[in-house]
Formats: sequence, structure tokens, C-alpha cells
Amino acid sequence: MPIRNIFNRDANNNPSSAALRIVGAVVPVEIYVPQAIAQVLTQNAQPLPTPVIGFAMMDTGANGTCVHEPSLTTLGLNPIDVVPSGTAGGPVQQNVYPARLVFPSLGWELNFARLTGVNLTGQIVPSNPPQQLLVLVGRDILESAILVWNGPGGAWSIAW
Amino acid sequence: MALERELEYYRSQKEALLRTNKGQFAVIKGTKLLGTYTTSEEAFNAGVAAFGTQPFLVKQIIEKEEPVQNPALFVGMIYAHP
Repeated sequence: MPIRNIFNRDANNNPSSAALRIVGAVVPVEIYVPQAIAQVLTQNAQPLPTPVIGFAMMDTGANGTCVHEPSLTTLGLNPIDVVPSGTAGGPVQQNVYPARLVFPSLGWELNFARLTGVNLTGQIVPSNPPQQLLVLVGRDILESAILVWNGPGGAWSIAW
Repeated sequence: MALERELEYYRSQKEALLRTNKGQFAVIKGTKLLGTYTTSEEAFNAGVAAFGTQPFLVKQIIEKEEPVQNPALFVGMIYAHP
């Protein structure tokens, strides 16, 4: 089980608990159309949509992985289901989409048949340069992982 | 709401499907059931093979759906809808 240690650093390039607190447990993510859709597009000589790039945050509070819905519709994906969800504004139905998520820094490439679409507009990760938060990595992925938060060390680790 | 026809058809067939295919994933296009499958991946791939990039429904045949739980959404830290 490979282990990845992610350090959040301050302006002097030292691991920083404050930097970790501000940014959170985030990693770069790329969102692609699922492989089955990519095959259909290729067979029909249609171009593959450009992947959407941003950040993913580890979210132990989420029972399933959620994706910024506009990034999925940008890829031309259609919802395949709707599921109930509770929100601050009351219960709502949320769309479910398929997609392929690639986490380059973790070496993960995951093909999902079911991801919940949510609106993460305005959720900007204060990286350099700042980028849109696109994915909340929920317990459906984390159930296969060991996740360690090292606040004093300004780091977090994941094994998967 | 997306997939309204398919969801209405699923609701009309749900009791019968629960008796014969509980726990499986149904693929529905319009008012036609393509089939039921063991996993969501298998169901999605069958839907794409049949309908390409057109919309279709993949619904797990269960009595009560587990709601999406995300406290960040519940408390409004992150908006759930556009």
C-alpha cells in the first residue's frame, strides 16, 4: 500500500500547521468523461472534451464523493439518476453522474459510475495560483484508504 | 428535474422490480427497461452500449434510498444547488 505524505508549507517553504489549516487536505484532480463515453465519442470520430482541472478535498463527513456539477456538464455528461439529500435549505434531489477522476499526485485513476453533483462555486483553494475546488472525496473512496492528519507537522498522509 | 419520464416509469415498476431484482441496478430509457445488472458500472456500460451519449436512468432497485450525507452541505458551508 503506497503512502503519500503531503506537506503544506509557509512562505519560507517550511511545513506549517497554519498553512494546513487554511488549505486543508487537498490534492490536484482532473475530471474526464468516463471510459465508456470516451469510446463512443472516439468511435463516432468526435473530439474528447478537455478535462476539467482543479482541486479535491478529503471530506470524511461525506458518505459519497461529490463533484462540482458545472464541471460535469462542461464535459457534456448527462445525469444518470437523482438522489435525495438534506441541505440547510431543506431536502433536495441531486443529480448523479458518471465520470473518471484522476489524482496525479496520488497516482489514482478512478472510473466512477455514480458521483453526486453539487455546486462548489466560490470554493477556491488558496493554492498558487488559486484554483476551484471540484471534488469532495467521500467515504466511498476513503473506505479503502488510511488517512492521517498531522496538524502540528503541517502535513497529512494517505495510503491506498 | 432530469430524467422525469424514466423516474416516473421506475416508480410505476418499482414494486414488481423489488420482487424479482432487488438490489440490482435497472437501466431505463423513456418507458423502456433495458435490463437489470449486478453493479452500477455494469449497468452504466450497458446503457452506454445501447444509447450512446443520450440520457438514460441507472437506478438501484431498493426500498428506500440512502440520502447523500455531507455536513458541509447540510450547514450551508457549501451550496448544494446552483
